[in-house]
Amino acid sequence: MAMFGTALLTLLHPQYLIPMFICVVIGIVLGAIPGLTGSLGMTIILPLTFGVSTNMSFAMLIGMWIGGTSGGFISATLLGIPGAPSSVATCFDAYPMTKKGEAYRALLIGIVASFIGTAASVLIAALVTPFIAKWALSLGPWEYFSLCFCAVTVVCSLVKQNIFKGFLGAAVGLLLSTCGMSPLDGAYRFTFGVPDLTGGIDMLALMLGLYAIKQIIEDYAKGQQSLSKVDKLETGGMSIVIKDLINNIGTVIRSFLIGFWIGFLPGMGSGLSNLVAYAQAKSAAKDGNKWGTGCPGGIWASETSNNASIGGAIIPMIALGIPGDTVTALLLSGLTIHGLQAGPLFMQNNADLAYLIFVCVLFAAILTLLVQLFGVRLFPKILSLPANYLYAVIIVMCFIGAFISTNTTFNMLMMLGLVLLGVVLDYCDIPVSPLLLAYILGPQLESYFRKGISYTSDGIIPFITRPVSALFLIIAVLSVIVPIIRGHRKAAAKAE
Amino acid sequence: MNKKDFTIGIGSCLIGAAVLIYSFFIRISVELSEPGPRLFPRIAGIIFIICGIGIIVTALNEPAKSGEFLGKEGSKKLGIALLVCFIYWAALKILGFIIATPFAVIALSRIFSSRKYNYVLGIVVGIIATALLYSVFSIAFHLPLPAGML
Repeated sequence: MAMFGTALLTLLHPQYLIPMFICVVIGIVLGAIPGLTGSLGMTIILPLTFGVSTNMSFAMLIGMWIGGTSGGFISATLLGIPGAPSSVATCFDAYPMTKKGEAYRALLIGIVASFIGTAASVLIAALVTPFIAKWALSLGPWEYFSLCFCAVTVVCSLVKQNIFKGFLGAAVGLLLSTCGMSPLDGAYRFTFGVPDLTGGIDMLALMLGLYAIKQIIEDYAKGQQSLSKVDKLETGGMSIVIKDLINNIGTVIRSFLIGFWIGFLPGMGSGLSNLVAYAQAKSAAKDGNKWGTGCPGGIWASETSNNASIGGAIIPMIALGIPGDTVTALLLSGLTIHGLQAGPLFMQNNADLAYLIFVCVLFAAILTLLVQLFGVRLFPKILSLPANYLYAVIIVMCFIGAFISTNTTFNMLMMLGLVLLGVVLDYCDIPVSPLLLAYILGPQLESYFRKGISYTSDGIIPFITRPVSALFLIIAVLSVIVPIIRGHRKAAAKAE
Repeated sequence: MNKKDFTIGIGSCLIGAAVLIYSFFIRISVELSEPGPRLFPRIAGIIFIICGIGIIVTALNEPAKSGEFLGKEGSKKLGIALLVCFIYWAALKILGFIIATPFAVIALSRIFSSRKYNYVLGIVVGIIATALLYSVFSIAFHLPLPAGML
């Protein structure tokens, strides 16, 4: 609790509050514009964190994240186009409400639901994480290997159409992670005599290439950049939203729990939680048949759940060092830039920073709430920003980021190579999430596996005989087998 | 048969085989009590091959899929945007950030524009964006920017 208080006092300083406020505003703007997301904003500002303190870098990154996640509902409400994958289900009822002339009410529900989801989930995360980290301290390299392996496998198995493509994505990530010097013995691999490759594939170049530039260029190629105009908002008060909240309290609690749990699981972030929570809330609602025509319950369900995923995703990131999704992977990169490594020891050795992260999320949620409540009438203006200039500047910033990361122009070339790789992967329908997770966890997987083998004379046996390790391996195997069996059953039922 | 996936499967197998062959050329210490640095590239190579075979088998049992990835027009746009990015990279390497960036902003905002492009506004945005980025990164945060060869 004392740590929490210290972090709270640290962040109250304008030195941190002002950059966080700026990042929250930019995050909301990026989240609101379809095609741009808060995680893209985080990728762009990652290079800036080289030049600032660890505390400041997290204030900025988290501000961008929370603002971006929350801002996604703006275009979902006003245009019927989700600003981010986390707001897909918000469109179902928010946009019909806009068409009925209730855009202001729909936006207010989105604002309040986002705040409830984020604030409550991070408070629970702050309470739970130390216990999980303490438990994780008793684990050895065998358990860590199995845990990382399980995380990668679960993400691969989530690929809906072809599970082999999910694993192929992971193989690409694993291959990229083996480039450069190997862990433990420093042998050169896949460097082809190029000195710039001895350090491996730079994480920032990978993030900027595979996410930021590729996304912008592909959206341009697909012609998904022009937006329709939005009318001015009608007026109204907060009282109606409070009444709405009381009427939908069951939906809010259920959606919160769903979002929190889905956020905790690797690979399943806010992009999935909003859809699951919406479906659950709809089936439980008395007026479920009316959902999709402009019912406030749909917005409560979607926006509470996608923001509740934030707290859920922080727990494995801090306690185990495992990123649940792209955003937490970016936060892990932020830690790496400052020479820190998340995991059980992080909570022990850097408890002040761990609590600072929780408090940052809480502060960012409060700032997002205030910015959105006072700026709600400006939302239509965000959607009329000249996107072509924004995209051009973002691409320039990506080049700067890649250069700053290693101080070489080669890294910018590598980033462009990774853009090409991203386009090829999209063409082949190979998902990027398993690639990213395998790339980040690859060195850990390798080093834990090799340590596990060398610590005993039993070879790979301890990986199977140690109970926790065995449990993770069983989950990993089941995560592959169960979807295959289900798929076969469905195909057989269709054939009949 | 799904020809696209069949080709992807073949490509995956070939990459896997190449990775496996390459792994034999990774230098290792003579006395190792653990699998060494060749193991994980080999695992990656084997996954490539297994997934490749899986994709081929699935493709053989699937009907051909219609629908293009980006279409002719989209591919052309993608090519132009990538070309501008590569030119910008070369310009950064030779001319440096301050000279190359205004032109890059103008060129990129021109190609991303879906309406009639305002060149005067483009030039203004290009210069202001360059000045702002230079001030933030180089002056405020003391971070290096490409200086160029000139």
